[in-house]
Amino acid sequence: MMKPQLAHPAGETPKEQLSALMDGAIAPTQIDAVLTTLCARDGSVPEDWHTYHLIGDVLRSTELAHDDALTHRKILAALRNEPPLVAPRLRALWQRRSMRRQVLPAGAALAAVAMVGWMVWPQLPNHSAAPHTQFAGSEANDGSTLAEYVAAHQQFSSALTAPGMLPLAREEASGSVQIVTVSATGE
Amino acid sequence: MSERDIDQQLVERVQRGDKQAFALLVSKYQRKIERLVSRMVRDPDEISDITQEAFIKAYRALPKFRGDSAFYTWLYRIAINCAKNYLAGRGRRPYTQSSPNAQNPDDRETFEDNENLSDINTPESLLMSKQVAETVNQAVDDLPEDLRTAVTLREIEGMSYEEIAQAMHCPIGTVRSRIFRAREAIAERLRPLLDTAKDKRW
Repeated sequence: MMKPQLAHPAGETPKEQLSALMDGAIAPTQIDAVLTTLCARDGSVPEDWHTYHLIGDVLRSTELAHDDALTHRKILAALRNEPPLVAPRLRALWQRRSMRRQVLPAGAALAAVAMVGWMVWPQLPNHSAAPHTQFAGSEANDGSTLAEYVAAHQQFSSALTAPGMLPLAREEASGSVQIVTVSATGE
Repeated sequence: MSERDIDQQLVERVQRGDKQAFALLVSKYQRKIERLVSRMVRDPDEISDITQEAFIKAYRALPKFRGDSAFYTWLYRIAINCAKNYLAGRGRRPYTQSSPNAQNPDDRETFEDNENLSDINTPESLLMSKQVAETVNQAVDDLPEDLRTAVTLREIEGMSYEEIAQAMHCPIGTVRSRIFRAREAIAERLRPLLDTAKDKRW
């Protein structure tokens, strides 16, 4: 873990940051910004990056004083002809994210439609005798059972709902059960 | 955070499509790769071609690099394979069996072998290498002692800033500043030479 003293001091020049970066002695939060600056050039290498590394190499071995600019130029020219990479791992991640972006909203939309359909269906004029409302209606035939159920439901659900919203189960005159949600501050 | 972590950050940038990050890795490792290849191949042009091939192969294979090993270890392996394939294609054997750094790339580069140095250099580039080495060493000798000690402990001994701070009895911020000032003082002496070389050869 980086010690506080290694954090980027205020007013440090880009060269100072580069020197610390080369030694891995830079705050993790600073790395991205410094690397972005270093990578900002197109097709050439910042001279200080090159010179500082050359110095380190030569200090370790005079053999590494052989600084072949011609080969360097050839490699960078060949690199310019290469397409930018997209790593498979990253590509897979992006595909998963893309799937999530497409599938999740579609699933959520489908679920919303189903929910609304389920709620609205019993109230449609010609569908009051639809199968699942039939179930509710058949329960409603037994008035005492239904009243007990509704009372218990109201007591239990009011304890669980979010503040401000109070779902109520009401017994309609027709005997069917309708669930409505009203604002607690409203009625 | 270490030097290896910085390499990994650069690798991940390349994997996200940033070619410039790879140019930085080329600049950092080209000299070591050329020296490695020069242990197996004599001809300077062939060394140059194999070095180029190794870097471009590494670039193309980088999507498969997962960071299980250090980037330079992986790069060294590619360079050795390129040199071996090249020699196999020409029906030759490596001219030397002694490749200490090839066998153990994690070692610090302290191995001196001036015979090999002469193999990969034309007289002109040999002179240039000699001037670079002399300039760096003279600049280090001329540094104030605390700067010279700090940069030596870092670059030659490979010590961390914390370890150098303990050795020199000073705060880490001071180590950081001394190493930077040492590098910059050496770089100032080196720049005229590098600029001349660039004008001549580019």
